[in-house]
Amino acid sequence: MKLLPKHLRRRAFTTAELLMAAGISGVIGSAVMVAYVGLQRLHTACLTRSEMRTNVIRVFDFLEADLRDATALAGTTSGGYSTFPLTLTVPQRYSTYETAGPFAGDPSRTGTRLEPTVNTTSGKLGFGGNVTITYKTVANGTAAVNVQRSITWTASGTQQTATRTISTLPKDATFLFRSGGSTSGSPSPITSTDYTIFAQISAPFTSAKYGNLSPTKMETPILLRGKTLK
Amino acid sequence: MVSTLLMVITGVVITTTMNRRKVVTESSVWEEALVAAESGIHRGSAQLEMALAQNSIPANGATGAGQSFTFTLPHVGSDSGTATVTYTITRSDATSGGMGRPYYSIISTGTVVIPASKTLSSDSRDVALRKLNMVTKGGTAVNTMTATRTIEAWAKPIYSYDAALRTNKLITLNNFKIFVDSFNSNDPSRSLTGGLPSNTVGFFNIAPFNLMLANIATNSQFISAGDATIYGDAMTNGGTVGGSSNILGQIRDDYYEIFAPVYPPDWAGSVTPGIPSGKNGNQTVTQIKAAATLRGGTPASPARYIVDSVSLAGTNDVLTFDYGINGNNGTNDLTKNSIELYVRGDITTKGGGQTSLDSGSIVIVKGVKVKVWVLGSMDFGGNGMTNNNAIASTFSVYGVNAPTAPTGQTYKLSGNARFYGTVYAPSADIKLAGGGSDGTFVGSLTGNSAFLNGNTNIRYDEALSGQGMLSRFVLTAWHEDTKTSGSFPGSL
Repeated sequence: MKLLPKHLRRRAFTTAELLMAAGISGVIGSAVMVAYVGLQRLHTACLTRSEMRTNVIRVFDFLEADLRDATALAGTTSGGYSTFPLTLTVPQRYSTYETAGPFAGDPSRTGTRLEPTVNTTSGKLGFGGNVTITYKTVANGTAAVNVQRSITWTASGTQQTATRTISTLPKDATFLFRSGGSTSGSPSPITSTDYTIFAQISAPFTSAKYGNLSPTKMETPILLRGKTLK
Repeated sequence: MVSTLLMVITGVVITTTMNRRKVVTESSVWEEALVAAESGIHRGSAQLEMALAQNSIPANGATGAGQSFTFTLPHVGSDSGTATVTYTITRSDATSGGMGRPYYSIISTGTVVIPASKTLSSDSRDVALRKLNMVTKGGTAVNTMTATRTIEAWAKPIYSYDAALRTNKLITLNNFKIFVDSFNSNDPSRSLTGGLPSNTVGFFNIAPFNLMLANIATNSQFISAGDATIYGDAMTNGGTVGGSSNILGQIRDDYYEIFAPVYPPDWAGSVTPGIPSGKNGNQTVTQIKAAATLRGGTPASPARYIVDSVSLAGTNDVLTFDYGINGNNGTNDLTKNSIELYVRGDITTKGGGQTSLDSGSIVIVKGVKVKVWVLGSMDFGGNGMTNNNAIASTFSVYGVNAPTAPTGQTYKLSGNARFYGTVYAPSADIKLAGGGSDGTFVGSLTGNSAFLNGNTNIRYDEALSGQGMLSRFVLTAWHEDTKTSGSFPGSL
């Protein structure tokens, strides 16, 4: 019998080898899957945290712009703070505002801008009228709240109101405003004589993987320019 | 099967991660655009202040068109190299208090390119909220996405007599009977016949006249208001106001104003010191100690005098500011009603005058306007000064403090006569003591410090606003324009 050349001879894995290889592959595969799922959860947690921060910033975007212009403001007192509903009085700088849709409450795309006038006696700059802007929260299901911004203005003698959801946050989110003191001691609610206030938004953060983590909390001082400029 | 599942999961992860990255980037750029827009406002404000210092405030390039400026700010990150700031300064002249005044709008837009991204995030709220721009920029098709934010600010001119009382240092109102109110001698609805203040305190500051313009302000950190009644704002430089129960305007802590120095009049080197004296007027004295009359010139060519001091004590020792003489017939020439006097030392009056209220040691004849520069101190006692115009704008005192600031310069106004005039003396400690029968100061005061005692009143004449020197601009409106297209015209 003539044997094939050595390099052409076929050899198979033994059963033991196959079982060992399968076992090792299984261990590695399982490890990879566990790691992958862990990464997924971490990724989801990071995305959720990032998105919540963005949602908090969205509220600040609106609040800061409105508060800078406000000539008067009033909140609901809660302990040493003021909180939503927060009502602002702001000079009317546009003839009318968007009444509905994704831009509701923004200056109307077809309206006109209103410039100030000079008081002929005092020299002060003034505006024809004011708009009222209110911030409040409404439930969105059982786990979240929508932050709503409503604006009421008068156009052509008719009072109109537009409301829009500007952000969504966990239901236990807090919106606090203080005129002085600190978050750790003796805060005081905002008053009609404040020129600078501190706005703080805190949103609790719960991860399916990691449970309750430290909340997203941001605080910023806001100069009420509308009250300081005359 | 498993591979497919892993690929799908991986694809979702990559997509959501990239979208989140865009959201975070857009959020960051959105904030940077606001910083850029505000920097344009700050630069425009500085430009106005600098123009003021150079005595050349901006005009418009053409009717209704402002002057535009552009600059860039470093903005490092991916393919976004700069933040672009474009601002326009537009002048509008408006009349108030009978005076034309320059108001300026500054409209500034900050534009920042969103780095390393050819598409916006998939969150429509960001597109609506953040005015992110992918398609057009100023109506022109562009391939670069940007965040743009626009701010409109208004600057109001402030003049050296735009407040009742201003000081560098402490203001002390030492009695609850003191009041500071305002009226307008040019406005019949805000003054009595002849442009006089009402006899009733605060008459022109209660509804419907409640303008609250009788402001007091200090560059220091404290006003001791002593429960005096202030029909206006009380302002400190980051400080507080004590005894503030009767301040009827606002209490503010954001005041600071540099007071321009006062140099000797620019004509001081061309006028020979001394005034005519003696029966025939053929003598010259540089110290006024007895009766003397200074006569006026025309507004275009005022009569100018220099003396070393004024010291009046006796009943007949009266310094009179009168009209110039008509050379043809020796009568008063009513066109010669302007007098300027530079006192290189002190002014002091004691006793003097013939009656308590209408004849002080210094008398200004009705119709004559007087400006006095004082290098030393001033003390109006006795019957003080009688300004028969009864209008504050007709008598101006400038306390010289340049090129070298004097030490111990004090201005004491305590005479019996009602004082109508303005005092601008940035280095002088001012004392108003109402020990006399009137104790009323009608006009405007600027000093180093102020101490008011007894039954003393300041009645600010709003007609002074807009007169004197244009000293600064203050921003009086600051608004972020959130309209999606176009911009404010920036004109009144």
